[in-house]
Order: sequence, then structure tokens, then C-alpha cells
Amino acid sequence: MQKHRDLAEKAIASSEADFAEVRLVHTSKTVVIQAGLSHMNTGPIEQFTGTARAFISGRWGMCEFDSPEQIHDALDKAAATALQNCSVPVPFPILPPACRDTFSDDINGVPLSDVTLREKSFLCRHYCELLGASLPSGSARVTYEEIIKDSVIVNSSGTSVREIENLGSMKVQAVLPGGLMARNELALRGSFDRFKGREKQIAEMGKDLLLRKTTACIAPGRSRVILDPELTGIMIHEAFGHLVEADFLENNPAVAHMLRKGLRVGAECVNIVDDSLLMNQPGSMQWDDEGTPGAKTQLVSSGRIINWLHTMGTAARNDAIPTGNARISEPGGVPEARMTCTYMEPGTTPLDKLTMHLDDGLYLKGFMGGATDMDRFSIAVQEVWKVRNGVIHKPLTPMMISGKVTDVLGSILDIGDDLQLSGSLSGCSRMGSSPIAVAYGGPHILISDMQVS
Amino acid sequence: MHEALMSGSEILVACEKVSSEAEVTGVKRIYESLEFNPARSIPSSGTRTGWGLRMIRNGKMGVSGEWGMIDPFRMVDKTIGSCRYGPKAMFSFPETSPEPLPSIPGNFKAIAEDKVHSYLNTLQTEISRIHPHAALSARVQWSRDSFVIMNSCGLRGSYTKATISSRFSVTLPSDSGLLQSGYFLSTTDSLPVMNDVLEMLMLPLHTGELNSHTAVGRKNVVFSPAAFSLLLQAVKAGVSGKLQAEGASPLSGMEGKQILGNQLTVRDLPLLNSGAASAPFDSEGIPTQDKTLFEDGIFTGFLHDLGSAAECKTESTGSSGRNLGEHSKPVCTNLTVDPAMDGSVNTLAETGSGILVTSILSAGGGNAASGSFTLDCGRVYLFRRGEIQGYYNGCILNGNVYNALSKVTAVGSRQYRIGTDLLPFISLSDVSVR
Repeated sequence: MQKHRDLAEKAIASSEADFAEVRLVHTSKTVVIQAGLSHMNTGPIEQFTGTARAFISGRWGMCEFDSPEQIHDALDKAAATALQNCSVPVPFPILPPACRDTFSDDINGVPLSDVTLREKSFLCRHYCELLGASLPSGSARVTYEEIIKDSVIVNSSGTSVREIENLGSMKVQAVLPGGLMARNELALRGSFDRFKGREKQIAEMGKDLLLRKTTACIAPGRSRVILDPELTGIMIHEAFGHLVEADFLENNPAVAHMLRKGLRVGAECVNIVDDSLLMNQPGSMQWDDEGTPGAKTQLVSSGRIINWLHTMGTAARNDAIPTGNARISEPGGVPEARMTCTYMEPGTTPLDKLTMHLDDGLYLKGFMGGATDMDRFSIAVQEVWKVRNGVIHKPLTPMMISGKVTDVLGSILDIGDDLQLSGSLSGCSRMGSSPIAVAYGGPHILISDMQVS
Repeated sequence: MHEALMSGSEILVACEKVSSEAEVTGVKRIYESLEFNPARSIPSSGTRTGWGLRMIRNGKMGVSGEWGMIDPFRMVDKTIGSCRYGPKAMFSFPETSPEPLPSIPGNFKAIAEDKVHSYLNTLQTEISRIHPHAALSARVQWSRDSFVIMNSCGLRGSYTKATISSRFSVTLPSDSGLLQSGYFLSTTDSLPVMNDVLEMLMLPLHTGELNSHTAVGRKNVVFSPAAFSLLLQAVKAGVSGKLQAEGASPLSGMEGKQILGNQLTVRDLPLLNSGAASAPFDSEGIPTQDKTLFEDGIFTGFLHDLGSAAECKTESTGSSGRNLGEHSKPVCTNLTVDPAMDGSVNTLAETGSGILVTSILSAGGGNAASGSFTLDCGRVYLFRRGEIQGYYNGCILNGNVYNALSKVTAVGSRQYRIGTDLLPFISLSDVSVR
């Protein structure tokens, strides 16, 4: 990749566009699946893609290519496309500071890429056998996915940065006859070591699933609930985070006004951040996909919106500064303002005190699926536990929670002290585009009024 | 294409001494696209080339794939590694080349960025006419895709086709919060019919009166084509020969039996004239064929690729699909449900009263293999005497898709394109709503 980076720097130097940029990405993707006794692996599937962008007289043009020899031609084609672009001109983007640097996950320990496929396959089989052994009937499945990504961004304002990411995820899943299911996913960036030593957690997962086998139903309605850190994170990501992505907001001025800075969206105790510099989490990045340095951005402070997430283009159009959130979801795509690692900041209350404060209600754990329809969200919950007199009492059938995010954030009564992050390599998709890696989380939170169905 | 065949041959030669059989597939996409929203429009173009290799070695199947810079020897090495852990090879690669067919027509060259820009501007104007504060964002990509396949048993095949993929999204602020609708479809011959796009985008954006009563219990439910498409995901999984081979399909042993309502005829049409998923042969080089999956609700048989056919001791139906570097599996191409010969388009009049589902937020808790579903429909519309009366937020449907589709009240009288499928509205009775 270093040699391609040199080529890109030379090509950029000869570009006559007002601004020019070349992005080169090499990815290598491997999947290992152990389902019962059946083992399957695909990959590594290698992919090299390049994208040239040119900005001339207020208009963009782009060109995707698939060989480093095409960098010059692609830059010329991007410039020609910009000249032919018939749309309304936009302001000159706010460029990242000049920088020539490289960041590699090697500094986080032995990277995923240095571990053999044999060792990864062995670990999947080991966990699958362990989970299978804890279930008298039903099925167990372990899926390991790995993406090694080497990307270079070079532009005409003096940026030339290279980042090597080692992204891995391990999903463990058990299903009982009748469909009752438990799943657990650990996604990380950097070292393989965190996938090891999970035997106790997996054995407990099987035990918990059997415990939930005999569950009672409750009627749909509204209830006081405690959400676990994963559900808190999912709700923040799905129902709030997407609403402060500036490229989405600038599409519709009326919507942007509804989510203007200073607007109250939650209780006084609610603080939400997006931090792309948590370098062991999926979604983290030293530089975003435009070469802007990663950053921690406070989105909500004391219940009020104080920032949106920006690319260098949206920042220029909205009189803001880039927040390092430009991300590309598919090769040749336009950088979008997207979340990285988004979470609610912890409070000071331990979980046992939160449960006492809940008194009678539901304790909800684990995420099974979900989606957002603008400010409404819907989340399928894996485990539902009845809490009586502040004590976790008995399991109930899995349910869905739904609501309007501002209503839910406004009805938070208390926030736990136990920040935990979860993540996924394919955790975030927008408008049908390819999913990107993200992390999300928060502490346990106590909500006074939530729709459960 | 000649150049592609040469590169594929090089990869096959590299496999000769290390495998008993090998197969190479190649894809080349040349595209242009326009990303459109009120703040900016960005035209783009590009080329993408990829190769996939499948190999049988020591009786096991291995796969690998590369996009961009291809190194035949690196691919062979990786495929050998994949064979070590791969599934047992249950079949041989085919020897007979598919009939050389004329390329599937398409108008790749006839579309230009200014034409797409003008189309999207007109669409935005039409949307604003209905909802002044609604804003459109869209991505339209028009491409020419070339496919080539060859194997060590002598099979050679190639074809080229044009595809236009369009993604539309509309946002609308309202008194009751933010509304959004989305519509994705693929065509081959021209930009989507604007009135259809407008209809699909506007359907979930009815404003009207909020209804204070929630409809809980067993109800008549009308699904829009987009919502029906999500319901059919479980049926698509169920007709897969792979699931049959694993003994996991609820349709196993049900051939010839009435499964769905007799108003429903479901087909998989890989030879559909304007189908974006159309192809003269599948990803293993087996000629495709149009197939009726359910005739008047009666299940007629599974879709098979070579692997599932071998396991089920039958023939491939030419239904193999896969991404480069992945193992094959049987897939649907252009799935269609026949419209009714007469009656209304949206079935509301035939249904009388019930709820109209226009979009589905999430399908958490369902099981594609068994057909069980739990669908959160977000905002749904109440209708009486065939007229929409109001809406309410937060409606969850659950049940089993085969059971639900056996209670058909009415099927709409025209089809809409959803992704690569062609589907009408459908009205089902006795659906559990909570």
C-alpha cells in the first residue's frame, strides 16, 4: 500500500482541481462458521478499491477505480465530471490540517491478522461444543468474522494518512426447540486476545437460556423499566444518533429546525457523546474517510443538543467545524456524516440501587434486532425479567420496546454508573446502504414509562 | 469479454495441478451514478472487477474471491486453504456450456446524468406539491454488468446486462413527529415510472387524525407491496433446497399440498424481460428457468443449486446465487405474485375494515426458517368501508407466515416493483395484532 500511496501523492500534486483527493482501500475479509458439527469458512476475500474526488467551482465529481495504475485517469475523470455537474454550487469544504502519518493496530498487541485461521477455527469449534453441551436440546452456532482494512487518504491540501485496522467479531448463538434464542456478540478492533477465555460467559449463556425456557407472558402496555447497557446504546444509536447526522439534517430544513442546537431532547441527567478515538472498538478511527482527525464530540449535554456530526462538506454548509465523522459505506460512495462509537455517559447510581428505585417493573437485557423510523424506534429484547419490590423475580417471554426517542430520553429517572460498550462490524446501515462498523453503549438506565409489546 | 475469458483461463491453468476440478467466475461492472438531495448533487462513475474461484481438492470444496488487483496464484493458495475446512464436494462441475444467448438488452448508454437530475428534480417538485415540507434524497446508479464463468470440465459462458438501481427516501416533519418513507427498486430498461415511485413514497406519509384506540386482537390487515415483500422473506428462505437438504424447511414433504390461499400464485422468474435479477444461467453455469413455486396456493417444489440438488437427489433448477468468494446457495431471482384479474389495486374496498401496513420497521424475533414472524409496523392506518380514517403508532403483528398467507381476503389488481420483485397489495384476515 505504501507504494500506491506514493503514486497517489504524485498524481494529486499534478491535479488542477480546486481540491482533489484520492482514497485507496485494501480489505481482506474472512468468515468462519461453526454450526453444531458443521464447519464452514469463506475467504479471505481480498478487495482493492480506489476513489478519486475533485471539487471545481463549487461542484463535486467522483470516479471509482480498481487498480493503482488508474489513479491519474480517475482524477482526470473526476475533474471532468465536476465540470459537467449541473447542480447548484456548494461552499468550499473545510479541509483537514496538513498531516503525513501512519497508524497501525500493531500497537494494541498481536493483531488479528497475525493469528492463524486454524486457531480461529479451533476457538469457534471449542465455544460451539461448550454451548452445545450446556443445552439438552436445540442448536448452537458460533460465527467469527474478520476484516483487515488498510486505507490511505491523500489530498491536495497536504494530507497523506494511512490507517491499518484489524476488526473482528464473534457471535455466539443458541436456539431451543420452539425458537427461544440467546445471542451474544463481541466485536473489537486490534488484538485477538479478547476473544479468548470466554468459556464461563458461554456456559452461563446456555444456563440462562434454559432458565428462561419456562416463562410467563404479560399483556402489552406501559411499564417502568431498566434497560441494560446494550439496549441503552442501541436506543441512543438508532433513535437519536441518526437524527444528528448533519447530511441527513441538511436535506430537510424543516427537520433540521426540529433538531436545532439548544433543543431539549432528554432529562437533565442525559449526556451523549460520539468518540471515534476509542481505538479498541469497532467504528474507531484515527482519521475519518476524508482525513480529518478522529475526535470526541459531545452531542447532548444536560439533555440539550449541542452538536451535530459533520463531514468537511456539511461543516462548510452549516457554519460548523468537521467532527471527523465522514464515513464511506461502500466503494465509490460519497462520504456521509455517520456515527462511530456513540454512548450515553454514566451517572453515579449502582445497578442494585437502580433496581430498588425501579421497585415494580421490568428489567430488560440484550438486543435481538431493531430499527428506527426517524424519531421512533423499535427494539426486540432478548431477556425480560419481572422485578418485584426491587428484586429480580422471574423471566418473562421476549418482548419488543418501542417509542419516540425524545419521550423516552425525557422520562429517564436515573442513570447507572456502569458504562459498557458493545459493537458490530456490520452494525449500522442507512437508507439501504452497506453496513459499517460501529460501537454503542451506555450504563443501565431507569425509565419511568416505556411501551412494551 | 475476450480479455475476461483470458484472465479466467490463467486462473484455471494455475489450478490444474492442485485440484481435481476448478471453476472460475468473473464480474465486471461499469457504472455511473447520481447522489441527489436538496443540499447537493454528486455525479460519479466507476469500474469494478472481481474474480471468484471454487475448487475441489481431496474431495472437499474450497472458495476464494478477489476484487480489484487479481493475483491468480494468491487466489489458488487461498482456495487450497479453504478446501481444508470446506464442505464435502457432493457433485462435479457441469460440462455442458449454456446456450449462447443474446445479451439481455438495456439502455445503459441512453441514460445521462442530466436526464437523471431532471427526473429527480421533477420528482421533488411533485412531492412538494403533496407535502410542501417533504424533502427527497436519492441515489440512482445505472450500470453495465458482464459475467463470465468457466470450469475445468469444459463449461464456458458469458453474458452482459444493464441495471438501473434506485433508492429514494423522503423525510417529512409533522405535528406528531418525523415521518420517513423509503423505496428501493431495480429495473433494466429505463428510469422507474415516476407515478409508481410517487405512490410508494407517499403511501406511508398519510397525515390525518391520530386514532386514540389501538387495534389489538385478530384483524384484517392489508399489506402494501413493500410490507408484503418483507413478509415473503420467510417464504423465500422456505423454498430453498438448502433448507430442505438440512431438514429445516417447513415445506419439506409438502409438494402438491395447499399451503397458501388459492388466490396466490408465486413465481420465480429469472428470465423476466425487465427483471434486474434476470440471467440466462445461474452462478454455476446451469441454464435458468422460470418456475412456479406456488400454483393457486399449492406448493410445487424447491429451488436447487448443484449442491442442494445432490443432497436431495434431484436436479439443479438453475437457482444458484452467491457473492464472489462465497459458497453457492439456492436463491430467488425476480419473485412475482400474480395480481388479481379484477378488483381494486389496494384491496381496501374488498376488505371493508381493518388496518393498512405500509412499512415495517423491524423484524426482530422472527425465524425465517420456520416462518414465524414478529413485525413492528410503526405507523399503521385504520380504514373503514374501504376509506382510511386515521392512524396510530406502534403496531406489532405476529404469527406464522404460511398460516397468515393461507387466509387471503383479496389480492390487488396490479403489481409494483419492490427491489427486483413484482408484488401487489394483499389483504389477509385473522392476523394477530398487538
